[in-house]
Amino acid sequence: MEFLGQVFANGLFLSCLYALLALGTTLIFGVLRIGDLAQGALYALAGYLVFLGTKQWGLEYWLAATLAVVAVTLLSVLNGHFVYRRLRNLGIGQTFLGAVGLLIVIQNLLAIGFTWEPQAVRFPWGDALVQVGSIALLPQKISIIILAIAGLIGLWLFLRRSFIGKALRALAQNREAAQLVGVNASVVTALAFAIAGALSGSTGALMATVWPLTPYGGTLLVLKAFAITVIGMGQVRGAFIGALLVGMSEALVQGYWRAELSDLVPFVLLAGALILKPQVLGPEEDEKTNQLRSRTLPVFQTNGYLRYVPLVLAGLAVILPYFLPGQFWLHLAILAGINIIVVSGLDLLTGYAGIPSLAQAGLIGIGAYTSAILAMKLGWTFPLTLIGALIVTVGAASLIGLLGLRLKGRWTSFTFIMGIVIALFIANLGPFTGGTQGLIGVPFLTFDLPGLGKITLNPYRDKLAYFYLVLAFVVLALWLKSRIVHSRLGRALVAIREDDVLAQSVGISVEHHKLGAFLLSAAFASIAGSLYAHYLAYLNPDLFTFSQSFNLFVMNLIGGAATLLGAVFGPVALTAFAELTRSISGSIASIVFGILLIISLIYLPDGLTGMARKVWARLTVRSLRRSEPKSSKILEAEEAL
Amino acid sequence: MTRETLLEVRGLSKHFGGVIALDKIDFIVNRGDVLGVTGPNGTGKTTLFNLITGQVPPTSGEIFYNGTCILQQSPEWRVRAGIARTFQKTRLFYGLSVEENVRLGCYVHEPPGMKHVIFGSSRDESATQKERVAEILEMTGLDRYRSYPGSELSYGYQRRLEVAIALGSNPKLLLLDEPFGGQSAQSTTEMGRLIKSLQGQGLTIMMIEHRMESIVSYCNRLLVMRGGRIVIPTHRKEDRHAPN
Repeated sequence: MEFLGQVFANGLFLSCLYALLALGTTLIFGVLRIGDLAQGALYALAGYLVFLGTKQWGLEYWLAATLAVVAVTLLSVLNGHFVYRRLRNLGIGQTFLGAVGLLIVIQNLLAIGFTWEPQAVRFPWGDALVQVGSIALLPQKISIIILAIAGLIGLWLFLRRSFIGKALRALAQNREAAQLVGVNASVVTALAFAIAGALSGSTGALMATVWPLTPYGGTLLVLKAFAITVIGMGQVRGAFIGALLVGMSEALVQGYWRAELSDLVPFVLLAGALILKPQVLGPEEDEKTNQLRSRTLPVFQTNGYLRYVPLVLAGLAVILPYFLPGQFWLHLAILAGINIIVVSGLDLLTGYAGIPSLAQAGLIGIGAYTSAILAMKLGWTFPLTLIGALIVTVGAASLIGLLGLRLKGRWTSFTFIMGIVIALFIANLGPFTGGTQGLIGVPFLTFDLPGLGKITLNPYRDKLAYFYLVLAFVVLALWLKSRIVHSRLGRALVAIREDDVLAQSVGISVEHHKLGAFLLSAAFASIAGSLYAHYLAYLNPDLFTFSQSFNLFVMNLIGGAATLLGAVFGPVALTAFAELTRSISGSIASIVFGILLIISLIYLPDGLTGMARKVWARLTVRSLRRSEPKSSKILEAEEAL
Repeated sequence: MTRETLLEVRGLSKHFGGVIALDKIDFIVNRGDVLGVTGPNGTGKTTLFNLITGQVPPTSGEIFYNGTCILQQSPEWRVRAGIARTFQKTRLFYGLSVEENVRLGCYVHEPPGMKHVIFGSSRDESATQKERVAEILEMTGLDRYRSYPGSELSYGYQRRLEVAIALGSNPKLLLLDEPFGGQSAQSTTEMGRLIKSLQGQGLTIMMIEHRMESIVSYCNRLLVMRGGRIVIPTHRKEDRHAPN
């Protein structure tokens, strides 16, 4: 009974912690229809500012905390004004990607500023447990509970009673209508960001005294807050009930079952909520805005000299190793090749069908782990491990696709959450995957050729052979992609991206094609995963986190979505950049990728290939005429004369 | 003169929650008909189209097309069977060229299967497809704009392109949702010419239209709807005595 009381108290604390963050994300969800993941980074930032204030400048805890909250609130408003406001016009998918970008940028800036080592801040009222009956709680935890209750009541009164609170609710209900009756959307949106920032900041400042400070400390928290926002159906009351549900269930799982599984609780509840009530993720009005749209016209037939570019590139790739200065560059080329395979598949889904996915790294992970486990435990050789991994990955992807593709506008965030769930599963399936320790000693890639016996490719000795193997798969992937793009299937995907209702009314079965595109991208990811696993000979859940998915997405976008060669340029350029800056700090690449993504979302939606194509069009007369047609209105006038 | 029935609707109803959009309507469309559908806004005309194309499932009733009930069939199946439509609010593949738009309209005639993905279409097959696209572009007067993005066309041409996309599937029954809506006098005449020529080719057309002069010029039969019911021609006693 005593233990149950303690579990209950702990659950209450967790609930209040989640509620504080979920209230902020719910407000922003109301005005923007996305989960503002950057709040997780702001939470961590507040903790670090308190750390800086108390340790470096010798400030009082409460003064440092107040300053931190003010700074974080301001930053939250700035994020809203400079990033989200501009992305919102482009669509919900883009806004969400911007949020992921901000999270990654701030988190990695913190890592550069304060290292990845955990830090601690002392609470001014001491660390003595407060005893209430048989239940003991830290004073900081009690202050979180008080803060949450005060925050909830304050917010409730503000939203119900004050004029500006009503304006905020009106904006959340119907943006256009609210603006028509005179609600100043920018002011109200800024206010939502300010409240959310203040909540995340004060929570972060308090929690710095409870849990060790890490740059990524707020990430899982904000994901849970986002899950709670969704479970609470975007309502303040719902968020509080959702937070109670999640916090209590987590405490029960921690207390009576297995502590390491408790992190999965909110996502399992979320999946349940989605299965029972898919409309919880908001009205269908968002259906179209989800689609990522490249402004480049897709070219069904490539004409002129451009036709030979892929052949020339393939030729160059074959002789490439003889021009590379050393083994490290060959290693880079192999990694880039593996990324090209993934991005080719991702481009079919994202560039052509207009369906973003942030689950790709998770899917690579499933492919890599399955391949490795089949080789380790069952002694399977290469083509078999590849096929086994394909089956498992595509199976998992069909589950994700069947569940998620119904969600339309919320699909991007759903894939994001699924990517994280996959990583959590890998980390928690210890007996099979080695848990967070990773899988050490994955067998090298081995062929069992009849008549020749076993041939093993040792990635340290036989890098060149491995390079050619990867190159073969790259060529296969690109060839298959170009075939698909020029076939009926490719046309159907483009039609779905442009207008899915019209696509259906010309006879395309939209649901099947969306699922098919996702499964194709999963298959490409799985092949890349197999090649990756046997190459590294070591696997770890950290290799397949959402920031990896994000990098792949950036590669696709920077290279140029919906182009054949974009899937080559992006991965080559960004893989090289990431590996070359790794010796200075692994965070640099992440920061640059995040900023690149946000900038290119706003200014360069066609990517590098789109730019190259425009330049090419300027250079060739024939294309020039095609690319700048006389306005149809002029032609019409001519016709009338 | 007895003509073959192409579409028969029996007791078709659609309720959205408590709202009755369509209330047990019955009618038939014969081959070669140009059937006008008219009535005040919100009487369920577009809902009727959505039910026929299968984008929305009915609450009750039956739809027979070519003598078989098609309620269990998917929207894609119905396109293949020859039911094509346009939308009240123009829908195009705005980012694609006019030619590519029409090519997508011909989607159901693209050769299917993995074989074509891997080995490509044969020369004959792509030639047939191209011919079909060229034919439709010519018929709709869009051939000189073939390389324009759909978004660059004027509104009148966009409406025509919509019809061109619908023609791509080689339909037997064409549903036009306010084809003349919001068009200039000249575009209206051209659209009218197009509809006449389609009728001349024996295509069966159902057309939602508000203006009586268009209905009189192009339609040989008329349904007047009101409050989710067909009031003219009527088969139901209570509608016959309903006040006008």
